[in-house]
Amino acid sequence: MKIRKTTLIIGLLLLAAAVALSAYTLGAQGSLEELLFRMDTQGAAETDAKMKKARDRVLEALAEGDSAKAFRSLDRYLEGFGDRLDLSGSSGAELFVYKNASSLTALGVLLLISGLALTLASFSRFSKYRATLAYLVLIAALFCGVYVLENLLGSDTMLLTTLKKGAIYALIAVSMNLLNGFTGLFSLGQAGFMLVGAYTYAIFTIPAESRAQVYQYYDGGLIGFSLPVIPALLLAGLAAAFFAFLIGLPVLRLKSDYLAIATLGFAEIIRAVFQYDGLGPLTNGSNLLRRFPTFSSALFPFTVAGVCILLISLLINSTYGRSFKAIRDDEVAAEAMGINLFRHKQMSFVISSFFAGVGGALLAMYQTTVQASAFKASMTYEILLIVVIGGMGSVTGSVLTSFLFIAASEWWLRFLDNEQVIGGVTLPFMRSGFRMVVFSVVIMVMVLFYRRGIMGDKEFDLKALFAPRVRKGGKDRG
Amino acid sequence: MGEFFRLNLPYLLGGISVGGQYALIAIGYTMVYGILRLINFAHGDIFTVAGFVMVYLSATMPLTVSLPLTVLITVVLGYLVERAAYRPLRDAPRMSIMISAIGVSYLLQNLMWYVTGGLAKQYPTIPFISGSVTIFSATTKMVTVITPFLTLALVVLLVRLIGGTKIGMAMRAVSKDFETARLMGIKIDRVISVTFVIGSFLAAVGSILYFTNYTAVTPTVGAMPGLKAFVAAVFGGIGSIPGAVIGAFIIGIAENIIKAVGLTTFSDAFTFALLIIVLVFRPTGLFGEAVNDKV
Amino acid sequence: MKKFLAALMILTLVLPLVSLGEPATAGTIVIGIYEPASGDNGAGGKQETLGIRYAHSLQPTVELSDGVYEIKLVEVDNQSSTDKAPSAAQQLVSEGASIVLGSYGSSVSIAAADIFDAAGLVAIGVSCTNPQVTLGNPLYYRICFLDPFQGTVLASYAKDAFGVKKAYTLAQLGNDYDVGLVNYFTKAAEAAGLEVLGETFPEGTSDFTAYLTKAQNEGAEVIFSPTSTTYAAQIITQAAANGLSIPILAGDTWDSSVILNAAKGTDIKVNVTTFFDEGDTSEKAVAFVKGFKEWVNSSPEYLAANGGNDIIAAVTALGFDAYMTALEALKAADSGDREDIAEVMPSVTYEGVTGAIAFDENGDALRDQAFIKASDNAAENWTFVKVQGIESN
Repeated sequence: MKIRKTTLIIGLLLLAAAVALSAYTLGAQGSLEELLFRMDTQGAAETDAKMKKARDRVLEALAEGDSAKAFRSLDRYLEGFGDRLDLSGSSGAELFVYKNASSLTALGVLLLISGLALTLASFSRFSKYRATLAYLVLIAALFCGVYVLENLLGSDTMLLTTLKKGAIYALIAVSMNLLNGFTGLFSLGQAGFMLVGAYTYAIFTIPAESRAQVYQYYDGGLIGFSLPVIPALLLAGLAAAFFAFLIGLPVLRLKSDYLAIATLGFAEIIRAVFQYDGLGPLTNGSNLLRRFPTFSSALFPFTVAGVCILLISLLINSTYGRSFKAIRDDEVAAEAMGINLFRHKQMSFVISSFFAGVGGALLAMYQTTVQASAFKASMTYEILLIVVIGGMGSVTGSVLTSFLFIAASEWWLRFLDNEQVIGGVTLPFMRSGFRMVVFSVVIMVMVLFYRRGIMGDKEFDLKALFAPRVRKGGKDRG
Repeated sequence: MGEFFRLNLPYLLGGISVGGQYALIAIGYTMVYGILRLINFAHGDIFTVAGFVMVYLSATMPLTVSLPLTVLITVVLGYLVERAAYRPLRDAPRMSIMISAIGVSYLLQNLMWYVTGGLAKQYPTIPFISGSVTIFSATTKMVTVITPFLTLALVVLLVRLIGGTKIGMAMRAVSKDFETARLMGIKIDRVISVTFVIGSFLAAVGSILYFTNYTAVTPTVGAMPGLKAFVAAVFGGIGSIPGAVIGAFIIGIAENIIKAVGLTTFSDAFTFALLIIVLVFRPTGLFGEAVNDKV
Repeated sequence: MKKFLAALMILTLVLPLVSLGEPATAGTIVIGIYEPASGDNGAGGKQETLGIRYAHSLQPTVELSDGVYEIKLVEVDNQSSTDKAPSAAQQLVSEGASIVLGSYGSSVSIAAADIFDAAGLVAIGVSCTNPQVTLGNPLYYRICFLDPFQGTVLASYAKDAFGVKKAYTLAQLGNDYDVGLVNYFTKAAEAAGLEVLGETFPEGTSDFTAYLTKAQNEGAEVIFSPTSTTYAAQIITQAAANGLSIPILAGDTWDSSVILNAAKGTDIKVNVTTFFDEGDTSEKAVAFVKGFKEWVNSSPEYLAANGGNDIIAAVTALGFDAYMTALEALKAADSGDREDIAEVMPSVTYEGVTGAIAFDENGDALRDQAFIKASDNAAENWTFVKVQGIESN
């Protein structure tokens, strides 16, 4: 058995670093309470009432076990009175470790995983799994990166909010791509299935004690129990899939744009039904549902969306996936090859809706409230634009674009809505609504001039990054 | 009987009037679809833009100027949309053009938000057609009575245009077989431009009638009538102008009957349910021709 | 061409990053404005924002014990939509807002409550009247009255003023403001012995003739339709065109120049409950009305946001009071620290142009009176009718 020595050595070094890091982090995890007093060498807090109040607030939060509040108060304390505190030497280092304990742990985990991967890769027996290992490290780096960012910046910053919503939209966009990009079924019902998922999740997870408050017009509603989060997420997907199964029976026999308009119509019908007063004890009528369990860390949507997207990718690369693509490229030929058109279309439709349902449930968690009126056709259009800009038939394209789309529309371009003064000159046009105009112009440019989207129908590939670039002599598929 | 008639006449009048306005929009859909096989999602927004243009123009100009100018601007807009957003994609897959249509609709709506600030604008009163009229016992606006007649007159004109002129013949040829028509030397781009011009013209007229009746103009007000007009076009058999008109009247009246019965929650849902039933059981609609897939 | 476009697009996406993230400098306190500027409630949100901006133009600074702080307003648009609301709220949190004002429309406020709560940020609801806004959200306060109160007031008024026996309610399907208010109105009206017939219309409806015909055919003597202003204009003009003679009642959303514009020249009687009356003769109110009118006429932009005239919407007055209440909170806390503000908030009081403001244990303003106004269709203005409480008299 051949062993690559350098790889092995680097791998083992990384492992050692991981162990050292975790040991130090654990060792330095002193009590913050004691540290607070040690930092204040001159006892300034005892004489300054304001400073004492700020410090007491940290201690209070620690006693309550509310770590988010404790961190917030600690930051405020250090910000306000940092010049009077002694932050040099070991107290400074301890404070750093204390504040960044989670980031350091994440770094340790990342080191551990990459170390293990490199060590394994150094044995020739595993060399054929090298690509998989590389992806594994990449995914671990992504997750650790998000976790570190969250701890450094706080989970309530715009960046993290964008990442959370981006991850959810990524799942929904990929599920739509499965249908539109891979199977060639032009469906515009995504918002309807998301609505089903979101409502199913919300209805079954609202804690029993909150039901009376949420269903204030319907005497606490129909359901008296509540499910844990994961089963409810699955149930959300299943409910959406069930609706898709029923709707698919008639509409999947329709051709391209007829299918589009029929699914759009069904989404509208679903919305009307969920708002129907007669179903109030179940759906709360037109009123919003809330108080169901939500997530605070971005890792949750990343994990759920990641797993779902992985499953979709596996499906796309399976025999079924190849059949889907055959149907997309030429229905008649696919049928002649013995592919059962209806069965495969139905399968793609139901599976896509399952994930749209899960995505809808995640969206409900992100929003913390859910109301049927938000799931309009315009939501479907948004997702469709993501899919198109990312590239029909590219999973990674949809994922990338989801993040860019959300960031641009809800964060980066927000400044366009407010008057901007640069160098004493007030820029014209900048008032509320300008953001959406600029945004839609950008989209139109994309649609007209980059018809195949960012990724076309290709996927992001590690090998393409590392391998030397070879031009393929203009053999671009159209 | 008299009592029943008195109570339900307003529903019927409302239905016929709405139907007439849907019809004018539906013709635009059905003509574009007949030729380009494209659901022009932006059509409803062009209809709305026409409403806003009228609001702004009438603030500064007399009606005799602003009315024709509104129609003219709408027609130019329809032409420009085709030129800028659909023509570059002529040879692209159908899905791309449709997405471009959705993009245009998104852009127009956002643009209207930006310009108007999102406040509902009050449509100007047009003398005579804004006036009230009493038919038997029901009071309604004059426009309600005029709409169906004006619609029918325009449709007759249009059918004669398509049946009896050279450009009409070209349009029929293009809708029958796009590629062959092109090979036979028909200037496709010109035919398509004319189609959009006619569609936008009717949308502008429809918009004047519609907003005279329902006087608040908002950026998204055209979305629902647009979708319903499309449903009407499908219902009547897409590509068929008389079909679109009859479909529109049926939908307009049926919708008001649904409301009269008390199923108000489902009045929109009903329209879509009707669409799906038609698509599943008679995909060619009432008057559409069967199209065979070419392999 | 393509490369140029690509470069341009990348530029538009990257540029904002440069101009973003300007933290509040020392001596500045940020007040966040969480209001819709687009979507169904865009019009109302803008009028509310105008009130806040006017208040800010009068008092752009606040004096605390350690110096004078400049107040910076940060506006975000929640697009009247619960799915866009969280990121808008988040934007205010990360811009370092010390306190948040808004929103017009209850559902977006409810959707943002958890985010403000997690950030320890106090929010003052300006005109969100749904009980769920403050219920279970310890940091959400509000300065307006609540729907159960408003619905009951309207029902009493319908009975007192018109002596009706049958009412017809019309609400937008999927809008919890309409549906909630109609619900409370119906409860109170039925308790008072009225017969109520209720219907809902789907979003995007323009044709209300069928609903109005129904109301007439069923013999309703008053129509209660607390919809958003967009639909309100349609309802009024169509009622006029169809020769309806039934008075229309509505809630605070209808106190807007859009309504007056639609009712102008018709003989439709419109009555609304509201928070503020322009003709109020108290010294504060008179000064506010005069000052605001001057201010709003000073810029075409303000005028456009107010609907093209200088009629004062009640939400504008509320916006003004909300800003002033926020200043009181800053003074009481003697800092811009979120936790300090949260501590003092329950005991903050303010004598505003819409009346005295104090909070109960839920964080709701203690208000027991609503103004009732009627439209004067000839003068295109509101006329004050009476101050109505819950008690039927």
